[in-house]
Amino acid sequence: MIDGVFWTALALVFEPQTLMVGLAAAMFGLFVGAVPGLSATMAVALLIPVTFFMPPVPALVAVVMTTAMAIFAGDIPSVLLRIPGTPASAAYTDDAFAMTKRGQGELAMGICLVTSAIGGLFGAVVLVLLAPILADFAIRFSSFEYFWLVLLGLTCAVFVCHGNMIKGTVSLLLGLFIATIGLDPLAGFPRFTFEVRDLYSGLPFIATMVGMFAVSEILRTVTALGQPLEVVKHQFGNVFAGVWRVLRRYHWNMWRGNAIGTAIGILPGAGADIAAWISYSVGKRFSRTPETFGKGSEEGLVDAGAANNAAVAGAWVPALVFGIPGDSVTAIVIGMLFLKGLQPGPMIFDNSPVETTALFIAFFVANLALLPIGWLAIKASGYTLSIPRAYLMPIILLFCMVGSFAVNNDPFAILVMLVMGVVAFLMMENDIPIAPAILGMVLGDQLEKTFLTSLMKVDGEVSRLIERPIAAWLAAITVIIWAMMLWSAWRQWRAAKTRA
Amino acid sequence: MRFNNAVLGGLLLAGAIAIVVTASGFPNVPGQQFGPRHFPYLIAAGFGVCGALLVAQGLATRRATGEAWVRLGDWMTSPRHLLNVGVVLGAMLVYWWAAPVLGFIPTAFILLALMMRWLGAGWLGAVCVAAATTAMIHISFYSWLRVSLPLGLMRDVLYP
Amino acid sequence: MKRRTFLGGTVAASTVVAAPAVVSAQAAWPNRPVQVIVPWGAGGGTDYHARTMATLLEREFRNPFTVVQRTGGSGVVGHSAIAEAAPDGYTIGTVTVEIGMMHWAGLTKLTVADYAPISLLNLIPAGVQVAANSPWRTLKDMVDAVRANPGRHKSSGTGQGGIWHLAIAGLLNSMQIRPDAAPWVPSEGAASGLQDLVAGGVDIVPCAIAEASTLLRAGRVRSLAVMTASRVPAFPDVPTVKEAVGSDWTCESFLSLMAPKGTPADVVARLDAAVKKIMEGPEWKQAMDARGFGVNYMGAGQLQAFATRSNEAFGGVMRALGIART
Repeated sequence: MIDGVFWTALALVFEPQTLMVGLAAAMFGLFVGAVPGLSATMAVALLIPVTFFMPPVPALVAVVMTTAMAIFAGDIPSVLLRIPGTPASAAYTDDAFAMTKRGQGELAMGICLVTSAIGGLFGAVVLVLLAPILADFAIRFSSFEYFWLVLLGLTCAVFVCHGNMIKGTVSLLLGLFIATIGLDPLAGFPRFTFEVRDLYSGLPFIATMVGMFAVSEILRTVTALGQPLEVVKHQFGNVFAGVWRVLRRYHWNMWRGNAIGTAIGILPGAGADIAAWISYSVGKRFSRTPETFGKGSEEGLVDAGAANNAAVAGAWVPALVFGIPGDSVTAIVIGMLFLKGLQPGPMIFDNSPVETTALFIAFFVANLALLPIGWLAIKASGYTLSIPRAYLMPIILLFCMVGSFAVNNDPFAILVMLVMGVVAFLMMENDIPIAPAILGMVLGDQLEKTFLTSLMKVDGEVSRLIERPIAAWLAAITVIIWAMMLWSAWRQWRAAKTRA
Repeated sequence: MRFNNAVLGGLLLAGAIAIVVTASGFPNVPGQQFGPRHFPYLIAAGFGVCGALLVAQGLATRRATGEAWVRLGDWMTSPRHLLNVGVVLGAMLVYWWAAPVLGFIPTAFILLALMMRWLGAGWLGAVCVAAATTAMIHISFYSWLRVSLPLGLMRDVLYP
Repeated sequence: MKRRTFLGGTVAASTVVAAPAVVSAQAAWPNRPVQVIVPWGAGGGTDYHARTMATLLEREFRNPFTVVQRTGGSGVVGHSAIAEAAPDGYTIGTVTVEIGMMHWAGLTKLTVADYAPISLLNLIPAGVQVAANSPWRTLKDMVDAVRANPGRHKSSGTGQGGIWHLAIAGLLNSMQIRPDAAPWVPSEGAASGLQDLVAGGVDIVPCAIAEASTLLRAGRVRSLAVMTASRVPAFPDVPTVKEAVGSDWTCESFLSLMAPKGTPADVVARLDAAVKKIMEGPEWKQAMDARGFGVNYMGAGQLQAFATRSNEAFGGVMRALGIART
């Protein structure tokens, strides 16, 4: 297959103008990803008018470049400030920041960067080799399969909790409850809105997340006694030093993260954020040192970092083959594909061979370019830590407010950010973890929708939720995991009792 | 501010009851068997169970160690740090209220300068950094990212 | 003194700020960015139309037209944002067919009377889609099956009481079948409904035929009919409902460009003229062809009458379905 088409596509991607567009898109992606509140989805939406008058190949290169950079850049404020830049970094923010406090900031950055690049390449390889087959499998998922999958994902929440199990569950339930605010997903009835119209669309997710991580962190900084507004002052050394050792040690975690990320990306309706959560919790479940997760675990960072960028490429699989978006970014991309005369469908690879080949090449180029460009970004961002806190904290607060506002151009988001920041601050003071609440918010809506629509389809007979084969398998796995958890809890309780 | 688990549990139980009471008012959907109230019921049940467990835990801890119902954080006894919290939360409220009226540029500039000064920066530094940050955010968000930051007072200055 | 007036209260202050706007707007509109509010998600059909139009309007007026997403609340949030914006010509938005449905469902008090119509952006005809492996070859097969087993065959493609829900309910109603005989399974939109159709989760997706075009070409779904008076040019092989089963039922979604009520008439007229010019041009045609949409233009006056008729028609179906609350 490496023939004329390949060389034509390669030449198109490496045209000077296309490369310039790619470079500009990379800068843009880095900026948007690193600002809390601005997400990869928004970056791509903003690209549409810019790419409107471009030929197809530079337009595709711009989108691929922007998303790859944005998902990685979301890790930068995580590492530096414990504030995830995009939702895809939320799962392992605590670990990344804990490493910085230990003086291992450059290692954390290096792990995030290298796993992102490898994850992206892995996803791209899958996209090139298996797109039609995998899309065909993913499109068979109905609400039944998704229901069991979401339930499986929520089971993961138990693994992402650190410390008191009950408090972790409370946090998860809080997230699920927050997800019910607004018009209900089935009938459009306003729930817990108290006639406030701003609440009809629910609590804005990005503003809630920024509030819970960023505002609570700012509050924690300004209330820290004894150490008046100080942090680790630490210039970054060699970003890549030590990364090889970590990756060799946890190479199995990395491949597993790549695979999980790609698979979740391919499934319509779940993207990089859910991929990172699931990979992280699977990593914790099988880790030999699960107690370090949440406290600066290199292993957890590898798990999740490898998953989120892999999901980005995975999401293109159903988008290209069936015109069904794999995540919120590709939902926008599909419109662009049409505009550029690329009709999504199983025939896209035959009908537009040059453009699709160029797209594949763009994925490889973007993820390879991630290494040098990301390295520069890390170097530059390291100076953030030497800015005095008196200047830094107000600037971060302003960025958070503008970012939250920008998602839906809604000043109400700022109030949400404020309230959720206070809630999260109080939760932290009482050792209630925040991560499960975010996961609950991500999955709550899906859980309710898939459960209730599935019941509607089977006229309310719960037993029929497992009549489809894939659903039955997923249900069996869920039940087995639950049984294992109960069993180990019971054994621990027994052991504690005999000791006492 | 740290609460004894029994207090947290009590709050959760109250929350569970409030959810059930509110949700019971949600209507049925014509032609559907399941409505908007069922999922909140499940969540309330979860809150109830966790709340009860926390109450039990909290009471046990209190019997064993005599932990207070509420323990104030160290920062709550320091006026300086209490004011810090007030400044951060107040800044957000002021921004929310003032930005749509005065516009992004004046609101952001004044808030940034005042906060920086309060947190210990010198006047000159605070004003310069605040001005530079405001200009940078306006250009990058309003002009490049096309976020419709409110123009307010600055509208006739920027677009005469 | 002046400062105190501004800080006196949000309402008073915004009036002060807004008052000179109307005057200066007429002077040299547009001299600053115009917001185009879109009440539906990025990537959907409405967003596609809005972004394409905004890009072309931007070139036409040499002035930025910024697309602003205000999603959520089943469209209420965005539609309210358009109606409540200052009527100075610097905020316009895409008002969709739901403006004639939401108020019947009791979600809002807004109607088309709260806007100053500019022009129609498109009409989106509904189709009846089934999976490629469905036993139904014609619309008659499907209607007979639903009539024989009411409640058994499920349909999906939008939220409860959404436009496509009304499309199938109205069709069944016109055939003297209970409108809820093909029970509705709410979904986020046509894309997820169609995916569920291919996955075998539901049996019928009565969404816009253009939204199904990719899966139609991929041979994964079949379109049994379109709910229009005459066949849709992009899909010449698909019969109309009238041809297939003899019913007169038609259902078209519309999306349009409107401004808040009170927007200066000359601004509306200039926008309308620009939209007309753009729609006659090659870029618009090409963008619409790419996704199987048609090109349909109506000016301000025609649009007003059309939207009012659409409002009455959907009110009738919603009452028949028992989901009208007002």
